[in-house]
Amino acid sequence: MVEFFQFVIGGLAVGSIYGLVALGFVLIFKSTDVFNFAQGDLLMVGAYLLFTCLATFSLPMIPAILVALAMAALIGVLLQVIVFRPMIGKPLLTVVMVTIALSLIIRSVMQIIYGAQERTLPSRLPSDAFTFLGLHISRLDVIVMAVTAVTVTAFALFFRRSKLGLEMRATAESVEAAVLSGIDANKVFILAFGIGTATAALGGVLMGNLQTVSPQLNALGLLAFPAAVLGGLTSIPGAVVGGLIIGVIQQLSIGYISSTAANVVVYGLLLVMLLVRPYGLFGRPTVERV
Amino acid sequence: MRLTPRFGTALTVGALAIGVAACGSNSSGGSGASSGGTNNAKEGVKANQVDYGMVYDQTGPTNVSQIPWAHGFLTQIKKANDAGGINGRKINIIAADEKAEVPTGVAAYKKLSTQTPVVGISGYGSSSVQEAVLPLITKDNMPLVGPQSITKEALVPLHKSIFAVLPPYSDQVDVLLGYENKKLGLTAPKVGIFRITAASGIEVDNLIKERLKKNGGTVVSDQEGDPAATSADAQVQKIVAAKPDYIILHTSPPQTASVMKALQKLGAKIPVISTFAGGGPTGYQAVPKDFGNLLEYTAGVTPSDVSVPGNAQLLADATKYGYAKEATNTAFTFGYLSGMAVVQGLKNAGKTLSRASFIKGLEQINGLDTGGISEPITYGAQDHVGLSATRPYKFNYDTGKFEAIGEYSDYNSYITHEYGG
Repeated sequence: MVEFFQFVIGGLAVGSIYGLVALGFVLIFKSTDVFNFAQGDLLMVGAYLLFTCLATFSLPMIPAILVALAMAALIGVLLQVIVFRPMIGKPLLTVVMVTIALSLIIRSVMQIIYGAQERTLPSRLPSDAFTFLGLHISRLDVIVMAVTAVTVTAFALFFRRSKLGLEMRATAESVEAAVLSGIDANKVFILAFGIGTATAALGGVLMGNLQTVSPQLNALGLLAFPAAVLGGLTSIPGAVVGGLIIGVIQQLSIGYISSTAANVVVYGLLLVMLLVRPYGLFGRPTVERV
Repeated sequence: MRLTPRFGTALTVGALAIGVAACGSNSSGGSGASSGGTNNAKEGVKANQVDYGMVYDQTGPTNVSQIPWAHGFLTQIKKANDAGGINGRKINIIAADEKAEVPTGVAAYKKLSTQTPVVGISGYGSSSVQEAVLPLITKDNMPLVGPQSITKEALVPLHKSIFAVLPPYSDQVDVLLGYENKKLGLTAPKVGIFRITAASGIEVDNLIKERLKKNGGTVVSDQEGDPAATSADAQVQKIVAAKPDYIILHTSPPQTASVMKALQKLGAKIPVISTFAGGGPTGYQAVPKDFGNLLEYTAGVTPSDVSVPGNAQLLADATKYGYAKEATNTAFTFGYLSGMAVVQGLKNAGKTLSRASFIKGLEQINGLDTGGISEPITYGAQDHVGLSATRPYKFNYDTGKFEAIGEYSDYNSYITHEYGG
């Protein structure tokens, strides 16, 4: 039984990061209708920005994280203004293809700047472990889970309580109605991309601490995708719960079946979800009037 | 937000596209052949230029180690070109990206064998891709020199046109087991294995099991990991639960880091020894000294921070050609030696260059001095292994440098030369 719970704890830690990246997916999709397939690459950018702040500018860890997140948010804003704003009104498939092109460009640019070799962060968050009820728990895993919990709570409050959050929700429901009621839709779109990119970058910051910083980090985007679909593409708590479920299922599959089987289980779940309940566990089904 | 059927279609297309993009699509880099007086154009040989192929993972999951390999190789090629070329010809590299994908690697081979023909190829370091192109290479008698990962199928039985530079896995496993068993005083060790999900992972796994069955010992846990995986926690947990005497790794450096972090997380102080593939600084930098000191790795080349004359030259060359940051990478060193063997083989081939004469030129390499980076490289008509000697290394956290554990010759008695050499 200890083994089972040890797998679950490991799954919750990586699942928290999947959840954060999925949260970025959802934030952008919910507000702008854009499903950003470059989200995994923005995670990688976040990890490299942290590496730059720590290794090049020798900043202490916390200021380095804050600067990296701010820079990531700025990148998100620029992407919205330069790439996605001209896409407004374009067919959905065109926008999806643009995000895929963006993904490839970001990956290549990062490789040109930093090279393909993996990097280790020069200083890291504490990673030693303690024992609780016979389970080995890493302090870093606890930090990752806590950061995710705080982030999702903050966003839930932001969307429910703040004027800006309500404006974003209104814009997500109907851009036309939001504009007619005086909401600046462009501001909402910019904000969504800024926050969504910073969230992905936060996943990269944590992943860089858990693992190494390398171009392969973008593969995490592929695991955040089923997490977002599972939770429901319009649900903020759903994205995080989806991430946690995917993380736990992945670790249990690796532990009890095999590493290769884990992909079958995770993506099989994605397929089943898309077929049976495409709006996810926490999403709402909508009927289109014809 | 409305989740309509149209959206579902777009999402599915997007998911498929991003999946394909993640795996990569076929593309190639490098310059094409130039015009000029032809000498043997069907094999990439022209009056003043020889076309040479490089196939490696530029954008796939193993590019972390294959790009440094390529840059080490290119360092030697650029150096040879700056010295006026070889036998009056400059080497023109035609590079192709195999993305660690079999179809892409096979397509790259077909291009280099006929469309933009080359006199030889280096690379194919992804073991699964290498195995897939072996029948084509053998059929065409295309020289393949110094893949970063050389599989059993590439060496046994002897392929007339394939030349290794890296010691084969059989020799690496011999040294790895012999050294670790002696160090720990074990005659029948209980071994845990963590290996990459690729052809070489299966090969190393089989080699370990065969040797333990023959000499005593058991594999108590056998785990595999995807090179792009985010964590090795679950696999390491299974290994630790099996209580091995030591753990053998054959994986990528980031996965070595994940394994070491998982051991730290579980508080499991179990000795770890890796093949060259998981070696280098990453695994050591990932954890504090008390866990990092558990890790050692074996390699057929000396890390560039260990003082030998060949490394001084390597560092100077790497700096000159803009690869200084990668010079500490073991993969860079392997590429550097592969390039050295290719240059020498082309020199030996003489002015009448062809794939056949290049093969003969390579077979004439006898005691190629690497300045202590490795034992001298030697091939022969019946020996295409090149290097067998391997020794263990560990990182000294106090000096921040790697240390060799003994001399190469100290470990020769362990090597059975199962694949030749």
